[in-house]
Amino acid sequence: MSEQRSLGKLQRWVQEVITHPDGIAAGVNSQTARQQIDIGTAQIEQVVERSTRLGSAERLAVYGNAYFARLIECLGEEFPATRYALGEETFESFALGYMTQSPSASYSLGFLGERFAQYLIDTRPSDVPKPSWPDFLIDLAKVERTYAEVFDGPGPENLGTLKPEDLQAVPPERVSEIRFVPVPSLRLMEASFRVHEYVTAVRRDRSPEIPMPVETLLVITRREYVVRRGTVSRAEFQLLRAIIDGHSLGQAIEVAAEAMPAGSDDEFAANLSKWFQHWASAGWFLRVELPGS
Amino acid sequence: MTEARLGLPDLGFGVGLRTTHYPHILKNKPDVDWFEIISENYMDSGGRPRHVLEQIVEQYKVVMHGVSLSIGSTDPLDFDYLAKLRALADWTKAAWISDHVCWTGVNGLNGHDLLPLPYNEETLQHVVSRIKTVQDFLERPLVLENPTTYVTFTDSTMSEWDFVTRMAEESDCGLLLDVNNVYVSCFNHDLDPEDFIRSLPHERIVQFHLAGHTDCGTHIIDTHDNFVVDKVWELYRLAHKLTGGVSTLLEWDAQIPDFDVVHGEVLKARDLIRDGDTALPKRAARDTAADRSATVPQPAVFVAAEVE
Repeated sequence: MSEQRSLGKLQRWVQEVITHPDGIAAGVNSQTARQQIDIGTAQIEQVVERSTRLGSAERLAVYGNAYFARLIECLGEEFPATRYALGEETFESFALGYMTQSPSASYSLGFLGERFAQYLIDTRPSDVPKPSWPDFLIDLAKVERTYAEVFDGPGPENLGTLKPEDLQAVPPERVSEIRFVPVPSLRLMEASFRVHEYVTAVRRDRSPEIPMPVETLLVITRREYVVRRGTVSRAEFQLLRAIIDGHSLGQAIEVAAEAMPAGSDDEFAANLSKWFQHWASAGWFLRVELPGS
Repeated sequence: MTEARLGLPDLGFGVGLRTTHYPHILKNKPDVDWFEIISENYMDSGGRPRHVLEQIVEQYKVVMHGVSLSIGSTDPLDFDYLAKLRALADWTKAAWISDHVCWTGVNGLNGHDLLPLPYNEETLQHVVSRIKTVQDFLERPLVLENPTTYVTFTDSTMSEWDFVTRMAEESDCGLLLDVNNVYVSCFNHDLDPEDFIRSLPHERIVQFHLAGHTDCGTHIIDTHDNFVVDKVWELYRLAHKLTGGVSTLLEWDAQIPDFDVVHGEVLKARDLIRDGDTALPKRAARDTAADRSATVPQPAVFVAAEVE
């Protein structure tokens, strides 16, 4: 045996070598690996023994190959529609870049994809007009990540949700004061494509075409442990956003109206009752609260 | 003298709980002795995995098996992780908590693989000290599994079985003997798997793992995607004889077949013990790497979302 290295030095070296995107040889020769154990590829046997059938580098490569293959496979399971849209080879290339830039720092694979959409945003070509192909991919990754978080995050199943009669019990003169308490799984998302339909089509093996861009305002939640999604109008979306931000209904309408084109006020008045019914039947809120009640 | 299995019960013949089998288990309530869960898949779950587990623990005994404790890492122990592990064990009334004699990353990273350690005095003292800390924190013994390994280090000064024996005795932990891993690692390192199994402290073995693997010719990869091979059954029979029998668990993590196939595979272990020395389980005619998409070790299991 050669002079024994510290355990920490050996572990840092192994990690550098087997996670190098260009393979074991590049990993051994990298500056970061050589800072731990200063050897070249010809000296790997000083650290890793050979077997009767495989050399030291080949044995290390079992770990190197598995590292990216396993994590790309997991990322592909979390982002099946993004993978389908990109094709296997291109998806793997993006995944490799992502994991090289943002390696997992969590004990759980559930967090593996949490920065993937941001990676696509950060690497989006700046000279391509919006919205186009890269934005479609970004929207896809965002919605698939949201699905993953909603699926296994806190949900409404054991909490009970708002009923239409709960709203009817509010004195009419105090309706503007009510605050809607959203279910913990409720998410809003703006997209430039109907990515929710694309994801569903991929999950059902329907081989969808890339859709044309169109403003898509998504409400995503969970009911009976399955992720549910739907679209709403711009006015309803703005109102939901203001409510989720914690505004009372009256304040929320004002905030939402400010975000809408002039003359949209009538849209709120005309649709409020219908929206309330929908929110209650869709299970988007736990309850309404009145100050002082 | 150490009490057999550290006084922990022999649960019988269990199966690793996987999401693809949720509907079958909930609907049919199969006659399985116990389930092993991947701890990390439930520690943070607020959704369907947790909901299913609630129903499982009402009807079955459960053991927790982790893949991210990283007991051999030189990074500090993650006490937030350990707190979640303890909370999950309390909630599920887990019969015990297991993980692996390995490390999964340093510098705050996790490669989600079970990486090998050099077997020497420095590593031994490091691992023993951490096991003691973890056991104190969890307020229960830790049960540690021999991982599959694909390399050995020149820094090693003792065999894996000597390391594991001293580790268990000095830290007073239990052992999970993965019989398939013994076979795979010994093939990869030109060692005799029977020597490995005979040299362990058998009274400390709390549980067995069985699984399938992929033979690549020059090496074997622990893919958990197939039936148990005959040579592993032979080693299992030896391990059973030496231990007097302990809880036995079948892992199947890739290309997972119907639940009855997986359950049937672990019941072959029961038949093997019952039928004595002569009979080996009949193998189903499914095989070869040719029908497999990727030859990748499968230490962790990803849970995919269900969307309408």
